[in-house]
Amino acid sequence: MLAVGSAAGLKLSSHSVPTGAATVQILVDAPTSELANLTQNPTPLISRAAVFAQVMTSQAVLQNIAEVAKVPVTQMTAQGPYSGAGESLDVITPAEARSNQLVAEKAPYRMTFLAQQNEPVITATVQAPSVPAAEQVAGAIYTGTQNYVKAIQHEGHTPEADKVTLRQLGSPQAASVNGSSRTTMAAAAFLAVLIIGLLVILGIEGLFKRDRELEGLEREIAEFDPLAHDAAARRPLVSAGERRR
Amino acid sequence: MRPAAPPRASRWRRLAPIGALCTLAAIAAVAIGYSPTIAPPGLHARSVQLGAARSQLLIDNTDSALADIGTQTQYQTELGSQLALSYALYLRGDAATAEIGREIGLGSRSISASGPFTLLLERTNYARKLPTLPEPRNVDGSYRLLTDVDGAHPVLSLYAQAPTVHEAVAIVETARGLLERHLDGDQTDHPLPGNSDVVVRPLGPTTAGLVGSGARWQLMAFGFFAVMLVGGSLLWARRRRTARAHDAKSSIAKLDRLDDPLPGADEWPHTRRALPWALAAFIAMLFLVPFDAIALPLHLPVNGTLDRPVLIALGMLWFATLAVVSGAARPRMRLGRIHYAALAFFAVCLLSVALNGQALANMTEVGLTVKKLALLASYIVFFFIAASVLRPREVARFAALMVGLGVIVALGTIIEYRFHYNLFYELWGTVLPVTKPNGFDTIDSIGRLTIYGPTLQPLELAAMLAMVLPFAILGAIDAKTRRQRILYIVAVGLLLAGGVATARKTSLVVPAVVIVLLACYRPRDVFRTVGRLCIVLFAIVHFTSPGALGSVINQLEPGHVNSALTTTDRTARYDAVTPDLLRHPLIGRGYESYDPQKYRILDNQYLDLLITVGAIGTLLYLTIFAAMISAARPLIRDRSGHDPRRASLALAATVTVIAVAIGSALFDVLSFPHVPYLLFFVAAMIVALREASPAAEPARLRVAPPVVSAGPNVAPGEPGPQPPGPVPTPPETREPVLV
Repeated sequence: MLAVGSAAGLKLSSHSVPTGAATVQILVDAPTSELANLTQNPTPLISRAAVFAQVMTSQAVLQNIAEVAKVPVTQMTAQGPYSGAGESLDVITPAEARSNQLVAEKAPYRMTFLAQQNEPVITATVQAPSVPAAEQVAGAIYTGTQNYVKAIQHEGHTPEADKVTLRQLGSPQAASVNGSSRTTMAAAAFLAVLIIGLLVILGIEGLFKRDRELEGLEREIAEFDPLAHDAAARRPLVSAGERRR
Repeated sequence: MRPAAPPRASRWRRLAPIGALCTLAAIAAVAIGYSPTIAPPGLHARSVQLGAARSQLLIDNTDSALADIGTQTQYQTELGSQLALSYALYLRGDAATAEIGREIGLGSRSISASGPFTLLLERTNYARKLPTLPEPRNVDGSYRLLTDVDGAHPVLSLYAQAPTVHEAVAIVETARGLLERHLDGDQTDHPLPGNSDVVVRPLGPTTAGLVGSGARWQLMAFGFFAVMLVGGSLLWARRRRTARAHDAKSSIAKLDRLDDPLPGADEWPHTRRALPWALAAFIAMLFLVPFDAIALPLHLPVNGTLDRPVLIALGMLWFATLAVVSGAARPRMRLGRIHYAALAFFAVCLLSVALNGQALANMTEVGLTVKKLALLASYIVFFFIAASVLRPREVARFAALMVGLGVIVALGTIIEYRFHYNLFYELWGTVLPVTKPNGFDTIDSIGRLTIYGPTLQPLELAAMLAMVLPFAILGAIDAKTRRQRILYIVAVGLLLAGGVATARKTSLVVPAVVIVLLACYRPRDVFRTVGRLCIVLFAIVHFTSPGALGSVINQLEPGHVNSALTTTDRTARYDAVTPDLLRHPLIGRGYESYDPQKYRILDNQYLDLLITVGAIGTLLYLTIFAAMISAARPLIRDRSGHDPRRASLALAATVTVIAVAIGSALFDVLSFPHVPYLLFFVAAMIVALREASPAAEPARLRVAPPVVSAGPNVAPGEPGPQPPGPVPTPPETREPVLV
């Protein structure tokens, strides 16, 4: 019953396990769109998209996204862009960087930004506690980033014709993920409590049984070889085997 | 008449040890959490929590690259990334670290600075290692700054770690301010035209947090209960030591001698019992088949590697035998200390996943832990089956089988080393879908040929061969004929040669430990066998694997052992995983959830367990080894010499267990199934050695008594009217022999 109770309790309390995911694509573009202009060289935009993907993981952009999505920024974290030397196996993240990863480990809203190799497109993926929440945050990425860029443009008095323009490529696509996570956790809790309970019961019972056996054996030894026991200290002077030798 | 109880000690004498133990446990708990000082007297909290902070800077110009399409080209991005690298290196310089130290209140002490780590700087085996001069500065290692750039983007990341969050934030902000001041000074002294000035643009405020906020109390509680548990066990053992010694002696005296003939014994290989044959087949698979690289197209809830269906088949056979067979041929399930230790470890592993499920789901690591739990369950199920099936007289024969199979693996390894042909992968690849591991037949970063044998890791192969070595050495010592002795000595030579061919340090370290341990128990025999024949063994190793021994010895030389990446990376991990250890010190982050491909290859099972199942899980893992060793100990230390054969086999098994315990510090043993399966098989051998041989009796099928009709008016199952007169004896039920 305890095992079933713990499994049920865990399943009910794990409401913030992420089950929603959404993805959205953003095009880094010029006012005269690259898509519509044959004379536009896309290379500077592609390299800029890679920079954007990295900047979008920063707290500055996350704050803007959180504001638009109406989610506390402390519940958000971002990773990426997983390019360059960092994508190799066995990334030797030192303690200082790992500490910061751990601080963000429990944030329920997680975002990943990935810049495409040959086009100025950034794919953003959102993981959230539910599908609507994931869709909501994914929808806020474009607006939040745009707000950040506009603030810099305003600060630097960027001419209209030179302004970097972000375009959202379609609406966010959302779906449910991690469907079996809660069940897995509940099953693990059930089995763990069951095994630990059985071990405790068997262990205590076995210990008492063994103690009684040994006590009986001590009585027999004392009967046949009373000198093996120090009456005052209840401490054997020599073991029975040694005594016989 | 009931014998009189031994006289009871006074209450004070009985309570004094318990009081002393409680005091000792309390002192241990306080010592874990606080460090005492004598002058002035006091207790100071140990630094078991970390403040962490992070900030990012964009290396930009006045017309921001993010805002203005006219300002940036690919060339400028590269230039920005080069500047970011320069700034990262500037911030870790002596002057900058001293300045930051002064500004955050450390006085004359500098902070420690490192990075950038993403570019993998300072990680080379080829650069000449110069002697390191003593550090002239007074550096406080508790205050750390890490700078990082990826070499491709103009973004500089600053990370800090300090005893408190406030200090960590101060380090990051001081570093950022210092860099901005440095650039301002440069630009004032050397003005640049147009928009060429570099602008360091902060990408948002500094984020910070505390790692290991409850670690101190958790560790103190753990220390208290660990001391109470160990101390209580020792007190109980001491209190009952006479009876225990007597009991152990009488239990051993009751065991039959393995070398005495037992007429009609139904023992493997002279048996028609199916289970021992199935076990032998499984062991053969462990040695000869790269089963972990064979994924069968089966729809199983866990990985479909070859061992799973084979284990499922073994389990079904075991259940069928339990259900159908009676008498001595029926598997005997007696739960002992090894069973309990393995189950307790498994339960804690499950608990770690259940308690951290949300974080694991966040990091999409639930699937990984489930796979690893299934693998762990496989090991334990295999142990339960093997321990219930094996008989004491079969242990020696299975040990001989293991040595034979080990020699085949060693020969295959030598062939792979000399001819670059992996027999196991190539031959099985013709009939089964074998996936070759990455780096097959390639040279690693320190110039070693990667040898796999039937495994997925050269270290696993070296450990597997070392595990067989004690059985081969003791086989040579205990051999009854000259021919047997020569064969075993050749086997020892080939096992050593096979291990050395892997060119891993483990291939010499673990066998050396094995030989030393054997020598501790049986010095004369070991020196007579191994010592006298060391020249022969050396010749076998040298001629079968030429150059390999020199290569391994070279790695172990004092000048190399501490400088090779294989060593420095291992030692670097101890510091790097500190935040993970402090995050969940007791129960860990979830069994085997620390993905080596995502975070860091640890090459240390203990470190991995400390992170994933915490101190409790690691202690229970060690308890498994302790249970195996303690189960074998009475047999080894039997001074009466009742059964030297059992003692010898128990010693070989114990040394194998210790070899795996040492190997666990050198690689993540539980992730590579050859070694754990073999370890649990050796544990099953220990369990079998502790039991007496069953009486000679043929296997019988269990037959239910025939249902006798009680009459037309009686419901089935109810007793019918008893006929008058004497009760007839039921006809003898026929128990057919298992064919």
